[in-house]
Amino acid sequence: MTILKSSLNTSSEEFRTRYAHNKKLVAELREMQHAARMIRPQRDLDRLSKQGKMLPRERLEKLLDPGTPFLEFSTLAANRAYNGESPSASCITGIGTISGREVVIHADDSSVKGGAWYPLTVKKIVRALEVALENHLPMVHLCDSAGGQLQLQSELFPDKYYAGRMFRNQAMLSKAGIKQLALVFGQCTAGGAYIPALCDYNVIVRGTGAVFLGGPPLVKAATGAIVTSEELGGCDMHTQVSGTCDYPADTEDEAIRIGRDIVAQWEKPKKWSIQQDVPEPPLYDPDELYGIIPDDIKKGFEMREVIARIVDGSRFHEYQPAYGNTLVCGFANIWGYKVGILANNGILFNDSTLKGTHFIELCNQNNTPLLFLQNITGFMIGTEYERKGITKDGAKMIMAQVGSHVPKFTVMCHASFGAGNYGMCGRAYDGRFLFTWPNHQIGVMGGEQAANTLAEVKLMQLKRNGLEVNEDILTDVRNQTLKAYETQTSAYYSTSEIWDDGILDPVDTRNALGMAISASLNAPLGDRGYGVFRM
Amino acid sequence: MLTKVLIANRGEIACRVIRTCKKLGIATVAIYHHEDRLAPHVKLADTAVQLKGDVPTASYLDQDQIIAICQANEVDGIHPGYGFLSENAGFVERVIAAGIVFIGPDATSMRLMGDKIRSRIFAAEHGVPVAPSAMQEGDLDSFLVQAEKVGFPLLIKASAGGGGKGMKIVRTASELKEQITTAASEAQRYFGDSRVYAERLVELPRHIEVQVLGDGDGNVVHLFERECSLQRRYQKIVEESPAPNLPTALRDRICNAAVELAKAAKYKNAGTVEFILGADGEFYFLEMNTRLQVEHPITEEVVGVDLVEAQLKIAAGEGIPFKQSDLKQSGWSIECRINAEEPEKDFRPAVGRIGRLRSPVGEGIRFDAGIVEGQAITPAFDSMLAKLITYGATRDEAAARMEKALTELVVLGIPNNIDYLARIMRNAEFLAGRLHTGFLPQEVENLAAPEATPEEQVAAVLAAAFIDLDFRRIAYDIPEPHASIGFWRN
Amino acid sequence: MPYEMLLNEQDVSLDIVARHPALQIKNGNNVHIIAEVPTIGAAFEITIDGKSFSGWRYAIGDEVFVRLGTRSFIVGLPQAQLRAHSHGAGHDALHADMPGTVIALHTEVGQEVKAGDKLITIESMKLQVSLVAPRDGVIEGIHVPAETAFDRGALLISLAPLVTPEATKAA
Repeated sequence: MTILKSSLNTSSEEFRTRYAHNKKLVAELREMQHAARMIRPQRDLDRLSKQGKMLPRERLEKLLDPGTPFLEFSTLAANRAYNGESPSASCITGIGTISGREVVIHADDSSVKGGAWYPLTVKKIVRALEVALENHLPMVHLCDSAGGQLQLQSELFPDKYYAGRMFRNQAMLSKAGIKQLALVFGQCTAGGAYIPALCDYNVIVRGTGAVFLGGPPLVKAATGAIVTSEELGGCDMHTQVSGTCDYPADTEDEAIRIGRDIVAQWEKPKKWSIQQDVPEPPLYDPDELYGIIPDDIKKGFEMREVIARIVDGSRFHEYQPAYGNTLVCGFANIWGYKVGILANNGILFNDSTLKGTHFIELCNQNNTPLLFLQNITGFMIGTEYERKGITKDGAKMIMAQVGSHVPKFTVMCHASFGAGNYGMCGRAYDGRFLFTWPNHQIGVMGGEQAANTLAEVKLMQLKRNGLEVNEDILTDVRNQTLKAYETQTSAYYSTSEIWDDGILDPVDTRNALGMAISASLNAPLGDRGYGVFRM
Repeated sequence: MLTKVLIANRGEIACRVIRTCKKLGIATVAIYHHEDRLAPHVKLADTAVQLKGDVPTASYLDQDQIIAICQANEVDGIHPGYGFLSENAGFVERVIAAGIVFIGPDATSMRLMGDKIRSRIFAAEHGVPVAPSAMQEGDLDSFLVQAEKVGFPLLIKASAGGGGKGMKIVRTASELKEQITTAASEAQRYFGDSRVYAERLVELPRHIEVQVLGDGDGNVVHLFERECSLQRRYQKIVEESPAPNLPTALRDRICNAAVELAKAAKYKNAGTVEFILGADGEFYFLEMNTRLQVEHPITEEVVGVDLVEAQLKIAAGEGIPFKQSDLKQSGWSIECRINAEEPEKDFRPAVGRIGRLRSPVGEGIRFDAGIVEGQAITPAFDSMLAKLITYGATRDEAAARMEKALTELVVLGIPNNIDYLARIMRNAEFLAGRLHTGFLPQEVENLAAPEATPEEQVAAVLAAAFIDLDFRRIAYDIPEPHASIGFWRN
Repeated sequence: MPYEMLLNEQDVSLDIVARHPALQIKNGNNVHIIAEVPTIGAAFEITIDGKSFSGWRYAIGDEVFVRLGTRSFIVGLPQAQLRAHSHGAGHDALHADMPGTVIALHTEVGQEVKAGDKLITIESMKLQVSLVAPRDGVIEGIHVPAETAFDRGALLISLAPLVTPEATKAA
């Protein structure tokens, strides 16, 4: 493998402008993350401390192995929803190690409205369970939730991927032999009660932990009986009488110790082995990524410069270096793991699409995970390209990509517009993980493009109906569309809706991918399909 | 010679006696309580018989059972060790009545010496110095005159009292009356009896004892002295022989006084005469122990004899196996008592299990122990686990060997005093031989465990952590790339 | 999670900060490079920043006896550390697993008990069983008197938390 030779001029005006711009974006990201993680009204903090409860992040830090990483998902979920009432969508999810085992963790955040579940909370937990299922990772739930937000029940209860999916996924995990543990620190009411109940193991804290289908208020409303939470579903009741809970703990600390010990009993996964080399850091400083990423969505950039700052030793074996130049394909290592990278270096033409399709087939043949680095404004359109079959070429790429049996990972580096998102393994394509950079924008097309398209449609509509063409109407359409797009194409909107697994500071990309690839190797490979069709 | 000896004891002394019996070709019978079933004396003896009874100490004191075991096993001699039945005159009589030889003194001298007041009068009658004292018989004024005759400094105690209540130290005649009056009124208040008692106060007293052997016919030899001044809670923890900084003439006087007492009592077998020695060189009879002492090995090392062998021969009627002129002190020996206790917590006895035991080995090192790995140490018995004895040509050599041996000795699983003893061996006052019974309280600061350095603390914590599977797992068993990434939050 | 222990009854915590290229452990504000030297049996040797420390160790229950030179330590593993801080807090109750009769009571209301102390002996189906305190605490109530029959699930003895000066202060 060749060491990539960077042609980046770090003292150029362009580098400095971009560097300053992206540093500012990352500072904003960090500030928002900090607020979502740490900033809570004092009365909520007081309430928790009065109950003798730790904050969810304190629990998490105690539960994880010391000196190990935690890859947190969707820290800014719900940042554009519910008037900001649900920081991080009122829960924490991510991957870390407990007793030397990679696990997915879900922790309710009772410092936000008693840990009540908003629709996006449910979506985030369902996604965490999906991560566990897809990657065969054991899961640990830190339960402390008042249950679903009753006012929003229609958005979190009835549909296929709503709350019921949590318990469905829990059952599927257990069936697949993937262990689950619940540490019950607080209330698990109604549906929430099924989380510990559907776990293979659970621990409950005496005094604060409680599990019941209907809490004391509901029991009183329904039957008139007055019971305490402890009598109804407390530690001693469940560990001594009902058998719903397994291990009693006197304190949260003890619950965590017991939990760590339970995980230590679990069989160690036999991971799927892929080509691996000794890891080495990139030759070029990842900090220079800030000077590469443009300060304008419309400006292109050289993806090889990005690859050089993510992959081991900045080594890259480029496939078909002379063909279909708008898509860079090749092999590299990340934290020692061999990956096949597809990175956009411009619009997808017929040749670059076919090259990508072919390369996806090669990676499948070679059992090499796929990494998509998206900066795509779309497949080339126009008569010439339609005549050359750009649509059917794109279909080939989607077919090959969807049919892949190797794990796929996607990083949204700058732009993701139109059908290019599909070919490059967008969210709908079951990539194992998808991360977004803070500068990124996503949409069916660019804002201006959409504004002009809709203005064009409006114009034709007016003409068709024989109405007078008023420039003001068209400007209105343009402006409204632009405004909506500006909001909805932003990385923050995207992550708020959990269209990704979180926004990454670009310099964190290598670590996040390392952990993601490592996680993916816990699941066995599917069956290989056809051989390699030369496109 | 005796053919079969039962050792009515346990622990290290039982092992010690069995060792000499084996050397002399005498068969041995050990007795043990269920709790001691794994103890080494049980394995070491030719025969071991389990005692009935729930309370362990009561079993070892069960005379009927022990005599019955002797008869059932055709035992012709009983060695009582120390403690338990070793100074029980009634037991001696029953043993003899059963036709068994008691390896120790006869009941008469045991009774005499076992009575503090009678033994003291007996000693005084035979010219052995006793601490001058006066007992209040009549009124205060007549007692004042008597007390002044005893000589200063004086210790005034309540006749009926104990525990230091109402105790006064009087250094001059001028304060005598006032102090006696105060002491008397305090005695009245505490004990309802105002009578007081005056005794010459021995300042910075040393505890010196003399090992004697008698044949019961008035022939007695001494095997020189032992210094036993280092005591905590009135119990010895370090002994040595010879006594340091003891002029030869004084040593001879003390040893001769011991011999005179034993001769007068027609003492038989091994005994120890204990004296208090003042800084002024005056010494007074304290008591006589009519048994083999815990600290007998230091005499054996310095004089080059086997005291248990001598005991067996005397008991068998073979007389004292050596003459006084044969006996010489040569070199120096120190004994440290290894106890299950916490020196940092006022020597509180500890319980636990002998998890690991590594005995020191090397020239001049003797380890008399009755413990094995895995043995539980319960509150049922004395807290002494073993005795470490070193010998050297000089005191410094014996002390240096002791310090090294203590460093090498490992007893893990129960709090113990090994490190504390090692600090005594390094203590400047100890090395200078300036000993007295108040030595350990006086040196309490110098003998305190120095604060461990932060690195030592880390080492200790890690040594423990590394045998914990959870710690090993988090240290060594983290999957890659997590281990290499280390602490990282996105 | 830092690894929390007791060193001679004082809290101490170890945090692993790196494993490669060498194990690095943080204690207080100091980070040390640690290596274990292979030893046999109860012996240990550890290098801390290149300096060697060797001695002996023995673990029983959640305590480890460590001897380093002429210095002995008792190190409490995390379980012991947790126990030292729990003060037997929280309520608990002894329920009957089977119907039976109380044969003997070994405790009384208000008595402080330690985990493992025998509290009550019951007989059921000609089998006598002694029930022990599940943890340290104070006997809050004895709900079935001696020589009385009870049903399965009956509350026999309830246990209140051990009130410590610290707990009182916190409340």
